[in-house]
Amino acid sequence: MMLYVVRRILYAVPIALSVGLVCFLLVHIAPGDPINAIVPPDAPQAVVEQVKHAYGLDRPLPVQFAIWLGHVLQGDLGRSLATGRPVWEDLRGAVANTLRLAVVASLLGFLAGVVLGGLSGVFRGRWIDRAATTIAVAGVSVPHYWLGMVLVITFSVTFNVLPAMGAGPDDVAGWSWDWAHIQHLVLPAVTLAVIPAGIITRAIRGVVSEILSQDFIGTLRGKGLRGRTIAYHVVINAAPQVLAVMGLQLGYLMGGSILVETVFSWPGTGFLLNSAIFQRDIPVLQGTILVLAIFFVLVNLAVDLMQTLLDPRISRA
Amino acid sequence: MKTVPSERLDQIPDVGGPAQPLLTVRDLTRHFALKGGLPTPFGKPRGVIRAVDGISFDLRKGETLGIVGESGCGKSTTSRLIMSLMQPTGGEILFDGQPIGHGGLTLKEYRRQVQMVFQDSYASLNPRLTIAESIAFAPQVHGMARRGAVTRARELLAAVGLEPGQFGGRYPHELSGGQRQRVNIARALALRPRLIILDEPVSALDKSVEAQVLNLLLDLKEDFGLTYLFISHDLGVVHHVSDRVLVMYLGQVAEIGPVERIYADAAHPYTAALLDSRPSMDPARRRTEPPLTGDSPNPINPPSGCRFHTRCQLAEPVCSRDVPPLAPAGPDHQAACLMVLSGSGHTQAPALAA
Amino acid sequence: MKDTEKLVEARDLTVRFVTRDATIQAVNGVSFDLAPRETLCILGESGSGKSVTLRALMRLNPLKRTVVEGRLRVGGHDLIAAKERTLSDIRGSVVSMIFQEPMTALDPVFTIGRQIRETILRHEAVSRAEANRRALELLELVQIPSARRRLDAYPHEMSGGLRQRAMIAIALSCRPKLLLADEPTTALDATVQIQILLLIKRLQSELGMGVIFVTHDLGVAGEVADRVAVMYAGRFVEEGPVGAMMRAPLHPYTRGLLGATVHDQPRGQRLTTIMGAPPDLGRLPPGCAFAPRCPSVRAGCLVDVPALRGEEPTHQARCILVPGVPELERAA
Repeated sequence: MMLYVVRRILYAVPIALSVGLVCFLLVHIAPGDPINAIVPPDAPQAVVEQVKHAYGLDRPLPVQFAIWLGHVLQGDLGRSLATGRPVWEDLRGAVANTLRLAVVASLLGFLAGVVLGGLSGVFRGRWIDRAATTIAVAGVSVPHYWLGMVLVITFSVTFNVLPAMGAGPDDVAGWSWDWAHIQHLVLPAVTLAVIPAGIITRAIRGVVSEILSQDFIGTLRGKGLRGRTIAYHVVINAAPQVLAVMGLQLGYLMGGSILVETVFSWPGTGFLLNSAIFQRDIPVLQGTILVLAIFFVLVNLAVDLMQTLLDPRISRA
Repeated sequence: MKTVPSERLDQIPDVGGPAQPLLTVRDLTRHFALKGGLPTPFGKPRGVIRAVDGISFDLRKGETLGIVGESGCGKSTTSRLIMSLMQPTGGEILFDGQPIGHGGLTLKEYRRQVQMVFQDSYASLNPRLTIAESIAFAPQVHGMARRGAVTRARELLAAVGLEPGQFGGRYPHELSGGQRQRVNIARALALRPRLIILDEPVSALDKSVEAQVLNLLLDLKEDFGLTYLFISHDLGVVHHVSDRVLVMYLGQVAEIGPVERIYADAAHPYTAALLDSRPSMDPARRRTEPPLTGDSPNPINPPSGCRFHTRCQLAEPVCSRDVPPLAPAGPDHQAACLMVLSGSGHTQAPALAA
Repeated sequence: MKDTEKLVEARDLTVRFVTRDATIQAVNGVSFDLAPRETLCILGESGSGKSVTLRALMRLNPLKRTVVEGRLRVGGHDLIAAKERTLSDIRGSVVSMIFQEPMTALDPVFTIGRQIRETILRHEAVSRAEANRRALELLELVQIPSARRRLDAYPHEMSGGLRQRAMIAIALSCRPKLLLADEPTTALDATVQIQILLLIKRLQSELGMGVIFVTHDLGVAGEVADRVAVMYAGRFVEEGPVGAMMRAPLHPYTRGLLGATVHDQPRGQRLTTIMGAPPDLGRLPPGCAFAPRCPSVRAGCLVDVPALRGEEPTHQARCILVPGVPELERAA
């Protein structure tokens, strides 16, 4: 088993490196010369050459990548072109905010998904199933930025019970789990929760009804086990697949939703990415994308290992 | 539009003559590597599954050779090797004296002469094609014009007992298991092959349907001049249709010979135990002890020497050391057992001729 | 046999599946008795209703769609009138079942030991340690080698034969009076099949159980049965002692099955077949259900379903051509 864990971790390394390569290349794939983001278009050639040399943009690509990789591994993600501050400073706070939002939204979404999915899986074909499925499909289909705006209009503007933007009162720095801050979390979390709720409902519905149609359920009934015990068997059987879907949904949410964070002005990575794109702030873009992508690789790894732990049929060789 | 001459696709005539075996199999081997452990160069490979481990036999023209054995013996893998659905790890297969590939027959030429019928009749058919289209498919691939192919399909449906007008336009899910298996047989005949490999063709069918399909196979063999390789775990069925039988155990040949002789007086203890395991239809002759206990050993690490020695009642120390070769046990009858090999060291073995 | 001695008493058992589209009469009036320690084999092909009958003996059919009627007493309990709560108490303790494919019939993510313990703890008030001890005993009873290690094994880690033995261990964990076996050896190799059959016979005599086997294989019936009942289109068309059934079957269907089964017929000779296909249970013809396929059909066959008749009261068949007096319904 340990060998399996080590193997999976080893496999994650080339994936992470490839991710890094793509992030690095993003700058050069984007249209336009990256130098134009740094230097005004009418700058004299000598200045342009100087800046190029300072940023290492005159070296061959593989060398640039190696240098960049070296910095990244030491924790230096470069400096923001817009603010001049180290990228990691701004990114740290943004990642924390996004994580808070993602975790709360995930929990809400999972709860809703488990309830709706469980009901429709057990009562497949009946009206509960149809109702739950409709809700799930609606959740996945509705554009979530539109939903966000609708919620803002309803709860912030019309009824004025919840704030429309930001992550806390303006005069307080940082986060704490008090109502003053949590009230800012409610609307964006609900908005974000709708998609994982829909996906998990569908996933659980499929898994549960597939398990209920299997032969061993008949054996369990034949042993005289009661409904409670049979439900427990179903849950344990469903867990590997369902937890995998949940893990991936959490990974997506951790990537931050540019649209929802922008609608609510939630100062997370999505918001950061949004402004970086408009400002063509390459180092911030690179750093943010890299961190988010590495997060996703780690979540995938965790999901893989967890599935193997839970399902004895997966080979642990 | 270019006109392509339509091939008539008759049965390819005999090349080697009646004495030449239709199929010559020598030391055929197929190993499957086990996955796991660290990737090289960090770790080393974890061993192999010796699914087929050096089998040799001849298939004579016009005969039905039955291959029997239990799960894990390698009979299904053997059928797929012969059908060229997978490549052997070692050994060779000659068809009518010619190798397959490597300068001999091309795969296309080979497949025109060798066809296969599988156990799962539903999984063998494309659910989106009508059965007439399924049967007509292969001839068209080999150059026959569509009209001719469909005509042949209808003829074959009639030959297997399905009325073409009624059944030709149906889809596989609209037929019963027995009917589908007839369709598979018709499809196997579409290229007028010389050899048909039947891999458990009747195992999934009810007894009454099984009888119909077996009768059909016997009739078709005469009408179409076929040779059969019949793989089954059902000893009664194999006895009924085969001329000779080959018994496999853990990837090797245990015994091969005329079916009557082997069923009456098996030379290999495993064959004897297998035959003895058939449930008796006579309640007066019930037994109290099973002829063989335990499960088959692992094909990953087979026992040393004779692979059967761990379960054999007649095993002696020499059996765990020496691998018995296939030795003559009677006219046209061979068994891989030290009891049959003169001078092998087993107390039951015949003495060496002076 | 006095009423109090019978292990199973079934009278006019019918099982219907009712869906929005159709009603399927899967079991159409089945009556039989089973004594303790007796083995009955229900022989039939697919679509005959044999598996449905077996499940009905434990009321294991799907709850929503199934309607079961008639009289059914097992081990003194009335299974028709019983509520689901009582039934779940009876299942596993008085009656147990083993299934055809142990790979799918066992929960893949629980160990064998856990699955045995679960049954014991459900029906008997013992400690977990005691349940574990009994689980080990059971694995040894069914002759699983390295029993202690196998308690912690998962189903997919065992071979087919061992899995079936594990399933038998689970079924016997609470010493049931009646064991139901649904084609338990069909998926196994010949050498393992005979081991399992003999194991079941041995356990039957050691534990004093009644056994009802469902199979399509006459050989299996010949090897284990005391009595055989041949089922066709939801009814018993012949029943009798196994020896008489094999030597001198009364019903044309039984004779057809015997002829179609390969057993020492001369090689190359065509097997006798039963022409046609099993009937559609949703649309049975009036009269004898086998008439469309019967080589000896007469006009009288199409009128009514024949009653069971025969010269011996123990060997009867539903065919008007059978000599003997039609038996009146056995006294209820």
